[in-house]
Amino acid sequence: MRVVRLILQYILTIILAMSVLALILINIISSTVLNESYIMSKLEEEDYYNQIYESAESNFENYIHQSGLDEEVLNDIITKEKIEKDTKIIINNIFDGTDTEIDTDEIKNKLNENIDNSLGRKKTATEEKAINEFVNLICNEYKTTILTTSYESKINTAYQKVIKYINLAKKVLLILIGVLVILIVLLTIKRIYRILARLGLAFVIDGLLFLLAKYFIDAKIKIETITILSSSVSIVLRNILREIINIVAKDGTILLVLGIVLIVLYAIIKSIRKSRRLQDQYDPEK
Amino acid sequence: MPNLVGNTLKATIKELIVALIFTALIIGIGYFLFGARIEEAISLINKVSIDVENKKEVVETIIDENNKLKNYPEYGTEYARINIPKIDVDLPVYFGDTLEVLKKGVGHSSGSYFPGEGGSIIYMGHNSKKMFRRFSELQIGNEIKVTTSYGEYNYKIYDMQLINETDFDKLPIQKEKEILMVYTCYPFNNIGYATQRYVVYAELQK
Repeated sequence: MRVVRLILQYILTIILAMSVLALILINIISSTVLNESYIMSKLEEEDYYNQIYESAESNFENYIHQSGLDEEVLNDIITKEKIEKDTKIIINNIFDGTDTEIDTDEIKNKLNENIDNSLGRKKTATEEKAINEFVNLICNEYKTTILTTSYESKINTAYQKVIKYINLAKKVLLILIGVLVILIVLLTIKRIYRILARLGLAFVIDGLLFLLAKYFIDAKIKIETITILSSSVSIVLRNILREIINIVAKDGTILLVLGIVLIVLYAIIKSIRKSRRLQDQYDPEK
Repeated sequence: MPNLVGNTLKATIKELIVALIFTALIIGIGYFLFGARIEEAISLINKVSIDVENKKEVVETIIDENNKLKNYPEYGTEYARINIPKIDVDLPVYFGDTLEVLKKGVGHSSGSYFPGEGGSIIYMGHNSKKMFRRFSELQIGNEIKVTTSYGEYNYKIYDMQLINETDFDKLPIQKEKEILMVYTCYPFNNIGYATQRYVVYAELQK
């Protein structure tokens, strides 16, 4: 019976360790990549808007040389403020499910004004058509550079689903952890200090798994050179991944230390009890 | 007291060994169940991990005594400068003719020969102010200098022609004589897409 109880305790401890691990991971994900304000703060931190500004200007140059127009016509057609505003619109579309379109009228007007000033004469019908094509190309290039996609609403639908499941998983895991702790308490009720050993064991397992995961990722994945969509997006993505790995390592260390402390406490109590018992056995007065 | 410390240490080590065994067990089961998927995910992530800085060693292009080039420049890289004193042009030449290349400087058509190889060399550039807008000022006898990492080549203009964009026969690829053909869009101050090209033909000076 004692052995069965011990095996049961260990099985529950392993399930507890896995549940705590999953809960922490879910919390890390929901507070980082799935958190709108976290993403916004990362964009600010990495000077994302400025990088997009430079990238847009460079992409516009692809068209100016072929157009036959002077490079000066591109001067001040976009501002960093406009890029910041539009990037926030896209992020809101993805996270909040809004359906705001990126307005390029401002760019169109400024570009037409610059072209008129540069030409300094009346445009022919052919030129007018060519200029309109050029202006549309520049506006589309702007949208591509700031990463407007037709998938924003689809991404939002997927995001809402993920959030729903994550919230559900959090609740289920919290209940499961509560039930497991109660069961372990019930199984160790005669020697309640053993709960320290079981909790300690679960935390040490979690701590070790987190730290091993960190070293595994560091060794196997080349985060520093991950390149997706554009250099600005890649820089932000790399930093988010790096930060998540650091959180995993930090949480792992905390869990490991906490687990060891609980195990040591358990060992101290166990030793004291043992020595008292021995003392009682050899006490001649008893 | 020493017994208390000893027992505490013993119990702690015992629990930690159990923790290590369980951790190893979980990793083993996890790898058995999801190992292949994990490996797949890692290789997928590493596929988008491009180490641009340490990509490859740059090997210098050289030319031998038989006018054969060794270690051709990598596509999209700058390998020469073109200098046309008459119209104050001094621009970098890139191997390749994509829009990205043409934004940076003069493009070298990948199907043509390199300076020094003794064949047709085709260069192209936009008709913007910074590039070839002043091509109309060029005259027969004007010089074009191409400086590469493996040598300096001087050409003298012997002809200029206005061609349609599909007149490929006006830009012949041959290896009998070293000819440099540099072209740009025409009209020089055209707005929109131009269908004509202004070609300058120059031959290598001995």
